[in-house]
Amino acid sequence: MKQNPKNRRKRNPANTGILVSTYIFLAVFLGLIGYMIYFQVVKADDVINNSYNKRQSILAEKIARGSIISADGNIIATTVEDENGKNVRYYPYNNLFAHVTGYINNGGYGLEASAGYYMLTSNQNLFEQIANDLSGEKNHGDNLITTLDSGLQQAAYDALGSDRGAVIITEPSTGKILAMVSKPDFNPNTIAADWSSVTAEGSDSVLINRATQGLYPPGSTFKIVTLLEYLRENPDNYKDYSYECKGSIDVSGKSISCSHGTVHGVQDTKMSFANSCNTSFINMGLTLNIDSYAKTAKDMLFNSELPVPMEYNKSQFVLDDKSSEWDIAQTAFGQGETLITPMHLSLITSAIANDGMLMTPYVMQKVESVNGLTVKTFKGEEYGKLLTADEAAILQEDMGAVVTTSFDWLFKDISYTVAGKSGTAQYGTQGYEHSFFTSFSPAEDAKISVTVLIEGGPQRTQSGAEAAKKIYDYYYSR
Amino acid sequence: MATILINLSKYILIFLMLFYTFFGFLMMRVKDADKLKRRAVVQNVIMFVIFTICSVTCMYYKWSVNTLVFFLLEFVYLILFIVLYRLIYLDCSIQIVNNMSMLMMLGFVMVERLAPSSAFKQFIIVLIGTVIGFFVPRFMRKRHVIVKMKYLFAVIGILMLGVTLVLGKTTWGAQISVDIAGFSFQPSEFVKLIYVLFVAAMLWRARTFGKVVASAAIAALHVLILVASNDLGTALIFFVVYIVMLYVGTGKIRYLIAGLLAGSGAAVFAYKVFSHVRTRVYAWRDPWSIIDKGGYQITQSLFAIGTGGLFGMGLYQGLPNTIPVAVKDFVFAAMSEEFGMIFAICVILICFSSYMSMMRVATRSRDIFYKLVAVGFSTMYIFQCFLTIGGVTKFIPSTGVTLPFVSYGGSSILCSILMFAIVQAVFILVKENEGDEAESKEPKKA
Repeated sequence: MKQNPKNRRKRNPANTGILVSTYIFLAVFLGLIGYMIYFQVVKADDVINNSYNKRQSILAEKIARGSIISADGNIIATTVEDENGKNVRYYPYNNLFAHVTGYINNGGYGLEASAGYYMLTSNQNLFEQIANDLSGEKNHGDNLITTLDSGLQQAAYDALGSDRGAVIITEPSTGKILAMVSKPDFNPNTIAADWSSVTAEGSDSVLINRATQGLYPPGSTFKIVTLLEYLRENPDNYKDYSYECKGSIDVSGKSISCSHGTVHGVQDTKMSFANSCNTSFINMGLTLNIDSYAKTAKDMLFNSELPVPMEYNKSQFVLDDKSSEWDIAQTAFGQGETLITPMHLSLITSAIANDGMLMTPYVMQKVESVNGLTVKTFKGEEYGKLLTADEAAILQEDMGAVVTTSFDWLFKDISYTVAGKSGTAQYGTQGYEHSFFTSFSPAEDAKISVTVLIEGGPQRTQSGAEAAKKIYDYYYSR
Repeated sequence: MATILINLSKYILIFLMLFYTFFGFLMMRVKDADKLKRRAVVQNVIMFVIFTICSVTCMYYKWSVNTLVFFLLEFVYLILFIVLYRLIYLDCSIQIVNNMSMLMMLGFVMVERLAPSSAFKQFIIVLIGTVIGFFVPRFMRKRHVIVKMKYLFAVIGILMLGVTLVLGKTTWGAQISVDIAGFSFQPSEFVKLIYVLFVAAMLWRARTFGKVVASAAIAALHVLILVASNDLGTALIFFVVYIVMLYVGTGKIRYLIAGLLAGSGAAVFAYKVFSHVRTRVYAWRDPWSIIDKGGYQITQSLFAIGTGGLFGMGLYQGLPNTIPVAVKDFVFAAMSEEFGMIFAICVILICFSSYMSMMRVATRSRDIFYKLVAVGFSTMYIFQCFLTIGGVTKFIPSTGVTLPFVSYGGSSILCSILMFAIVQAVFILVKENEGDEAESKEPKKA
């Protein structure tokens, strides 16, 4: 190698400093560029999927929105060309998945809105993308694989029949939402044209997802929370609890009676729960420490944000240390001002079924490029323990007793076991009742959880438990 | 058809930009002056092709005669700039001139794209800056005068920053500008220039501990006033520039380490004491939880960058104006959205290669004063690039500084042009000096 004599000269110390600082900045900039590439390749898809990002419509001009696909591979929503060659969204199942998939126009709703950017991002082969750009073709957006099971969705839809209400089916061990139905519903294929009629004053509010947004009095399903609080306050002697039900109880000078005036006789906690004995629960409720009761309700996510990946309403529990005896009594057996969404009830049941651990519910399973490459996988995440495994075990057993005691007439001659809790709550003055049933099966080791709400009214044809039975029959017959 | 052409131009722009960037790095190794000049012309041609494609696209989307006239004027300006600069600054660094014109060109395009009503003002300020720049070599020759004026520089600098702190109007939570005769003026940009001259004059000869302490105290005063004005970006720049100049000037690495430690301590202190510092850090750590408030700007910036992807949305195809002050501090995010990340990384590399060229000028200077001046301005430049790019990409907390030459902002542009002009002046002096040496050695050899 040729040696330049100048280079042999000892380097000026100041130049060493220049060299060192240049290398420091070089390292800093390499870090910056590396971070930017990491951001773009790994993080960007998640980051841009945000309602504050106003670029959906721009992306839609360049990218044909990807499909929404059920876990069993059926296309729920896809992009097709209409007769003018314009891209339009097509929903092969019409109303079936309406509230989960939602719609694009009129502000967007459901997965179409919340997962829009995934479907408007193309991870198609880069060369194909460039070729499409240059030929004026749109790129194919990525496909969204959901956790929805189209068989269960159909079964849930059919089970509701002509009734108004909602069904949520989940897998408690993972948090997967297997089915979600709300009725009355709408057809996403024609929603743009139907918009003014479905939003008109006095319409049936078909756009509302009753599963997550409908707030209903929980009725006797709230006894789950009251019982849990009683167990927490009496961990060692709850088994000694005994109360003689005479069919009614006086509270603040007024009489409250058990459903149909039934006299249940001597009851322990388990039988009180299995028989859904109102008077016994009022008796339990009036012994409770209200602050602690409110805290348990809070643990069960009342008055709290829910880890639900779609539009929802917060449930409400109103007792505090200023509440009257009457209000406490009403709340204890599920009346009063308590309100809950079917989704929230499903979360509580799922947590009980999963030994106390609530798995964050999710409906997006995977994002795949049109070439079939996995772009992103969503996994079940632990949200947190709502109750201890011991508490969950007691409630599991007691919910099993509900079905064998109070619903033996319905769940008879079946090859499977179910644990659950029903709840009916009167509303208005005409004696109409909403009917809840929240459950899991098998009772010993839950695989699925089914929560049903049937809205009360003159059109109501069945109870929540009856609809749930149809779903379990389908589930175990396939 | 038009969309296909626009899409095609998107890829052509990326390709040209990659070519320009890597060609620039290859040019660093070329020693032969004529060869270098020929290569420089290739770079210039690429730059003008990029400019033409961008301006045609702009006119396609927003046609007006004014825009056409305006782009033509800018085109002529860039040609004159490249030619005149070489004529007036005989022996200037060609790479620096080319990169400067490239970045200014991108600035013209981005201002036209994002804030067309400000484009004319931007252009006028570039013209003024260029003309002033032509006098810089004369001024820089007078080292003895500059060195004598050092305390005057310090007093002026501190006064100007102090006045801004007291009278300045608040923009985006920082007091950084004052209005003079209807023009919004950022004194800190001007102070940047005299600050580097001051530090160089303090450190170039007497490197006693006493001198170091005196210079450090005065530099610290600058930084403190800036922190109090909530101009955290500029405060950091002043701090880092001082530490690097001190290290290069004394050659003692312990000053560098002590400086960085002191800086970290001061940063923690500032975090604890000033709520506006904490606000920036919160907005950086988790902007999503305060997306309506403190996190709005940075999240909008990330949406722009993320949606743009590697290849960009294409000029006029994105929504860069959803980012507040996109044309100033967040211009890099806007560029990344429409031109894509590959293009944006090329811009970073161009900035870095400009820095390397300037540091090279510093190594060649035998005169410690000029060496320090070149080191000071190169560091100032590259650190500012780092702050703005790192800030808009959420690599570091956002500090609200501009991207030199590209961002809109009169004071910023003016200061950037003069900074580069000063380094060019140093380069001219270095070359003269080397020429003298060569001449004085020549007879001995014979």
